[in-house]
Amino acid sequence: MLRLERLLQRTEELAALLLVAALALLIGGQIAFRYLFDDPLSWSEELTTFLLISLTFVAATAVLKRGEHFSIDTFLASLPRAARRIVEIAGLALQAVVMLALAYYSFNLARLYEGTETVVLGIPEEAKAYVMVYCFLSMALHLGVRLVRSLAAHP
Amino acid sequence: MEGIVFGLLLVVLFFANVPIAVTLLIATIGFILVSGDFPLEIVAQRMWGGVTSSILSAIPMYILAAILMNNMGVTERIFRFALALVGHLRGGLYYVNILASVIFSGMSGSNTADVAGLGKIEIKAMVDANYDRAYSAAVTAASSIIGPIIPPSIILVVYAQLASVSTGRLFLAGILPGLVMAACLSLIVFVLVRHRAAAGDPLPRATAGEVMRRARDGLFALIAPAIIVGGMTLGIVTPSEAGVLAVCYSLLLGVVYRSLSFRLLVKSLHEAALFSGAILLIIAASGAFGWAVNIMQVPEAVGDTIQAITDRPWLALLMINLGLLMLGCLEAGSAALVVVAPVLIYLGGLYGIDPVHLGIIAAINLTLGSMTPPVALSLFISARIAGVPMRAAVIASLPFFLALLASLLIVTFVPAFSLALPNWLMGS
Repeated sequence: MLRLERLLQRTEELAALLLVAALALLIGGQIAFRYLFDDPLSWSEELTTFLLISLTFVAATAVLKRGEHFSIDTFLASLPRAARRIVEIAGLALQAVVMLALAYYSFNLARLYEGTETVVLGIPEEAKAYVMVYCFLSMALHLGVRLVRSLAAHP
Repeated sequence: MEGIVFGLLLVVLFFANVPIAVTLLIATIGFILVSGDFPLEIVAQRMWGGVTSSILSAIPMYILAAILMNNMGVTERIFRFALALVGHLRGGLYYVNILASVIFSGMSGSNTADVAGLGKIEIKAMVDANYDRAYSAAVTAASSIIGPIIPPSIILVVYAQLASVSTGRLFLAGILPGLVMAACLSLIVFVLVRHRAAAGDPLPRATAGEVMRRARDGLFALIAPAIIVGGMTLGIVTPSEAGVLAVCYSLLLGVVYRSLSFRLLVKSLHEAALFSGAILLIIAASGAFGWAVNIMQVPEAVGDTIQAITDRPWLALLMINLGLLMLGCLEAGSAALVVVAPVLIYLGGLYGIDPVHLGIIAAINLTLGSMTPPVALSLFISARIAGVPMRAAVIASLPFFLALLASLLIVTFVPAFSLALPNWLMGS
């Protein structure tokens, strides 16, 4: 399970890196085609939106696994060790459940959008929701692993 | 009842160190579950909707440009340029610190990029010249606050998206307030080095030739904001395209300075992706959170309360400042803005405050949170670099904080500082 977790994290970080590069190339291409070739890319807006949504959730998954999301740790740090452990475990459990729920509701959303696609490129609308389903599941898996590890650790 | 659950979840989870984005989502889910009037699919749908605007693609681009500048040594050249200009003054490295931050602000939209990149170089130089370590950390954190005010700015892009305001106008509006902040900081340094033994060894005045050489490097750096703001103001490029131009310009500087390599590019892309992920998830979560806040009519309730206290816009502005400062102490920057934006925008409309002016006020207030405890991220980073205890850095930061507070009040009560440039260049 740990090996799978590590493999997923590496893949997600690589995907996030490539998405930033793709966004930069695409937006740069927009400028070049508009001003150098006088031929604006009519499809670039649709692809930019798709890449941005994918970047948001894929990169957020990678950040969550590194524990680098913005949070306020000042108050938790001032609690006694035992109380801090309880709060941390409860927080992890709640987050894992929420991520699973979000994966489920994103899946419902994907089914709702099935058959619809973007006007120019024909990107299936549900594809965006499926990216979310994957990312929420991956986050839930990670939080689950951390939860088990925290429970197994000595207080 | 759903309002109580929503508020309780927010407070408890914020304090329990749950990531801000996840806290916003859980509070929204709690609201939906208790009210029972809406399907939970709406959370996922609003998250998706929160990041569909292509303007937001500017955020990873500004982040990438700043990281490239840091990684390729452009920040060091900015520092040397500022050093050649004002390094010889009494307490010169404090002025260098402020001036370098102003120049770097024109390329970076984030204050943490300023502290972590430029800050390292500045603090090392100050410590080497026997400057007080605590003051060195404090001035570095304080000057970094200018970063998100002078364009490009991540927090202003987020505000533009949330308040449906032109990013170009907001960027232009940030220039003068950023300079006011730099002027107030310089003034406090002037007073400080005369009354306390805070200045280190005096540095020799740079020769004319040296100034010219450094100016060439500095000039290259100063072109970046001109590309970004100029391109957007003239309607040549969109905010995200301006971001890509900044990235291309950073790469060009890397080629000119021979510091660009494939490995460094990959490293910069990796860092930019992770930093972007943290910010973009909060914006996505704000799509759902903002929806819940509006359904509960929170902005109207807060607006009615403030209106019951006063109908004077200046007093309302003072209360807005106070509220934002307090919020900034808990969470700084875009994350805090996302939480408070629906209320802020409603209050702006209620009191007839220009949304561009309000955006600048909010950006200064919430970025100030980066140097106020308990969060104080910028101060925390600079104190760590300087090797001083956080307590000493907090005490030393007090005069600089007061200087920035004074600049905030000037910007708040003289709207011309925010509005003159956009009105002049883009029409009122």
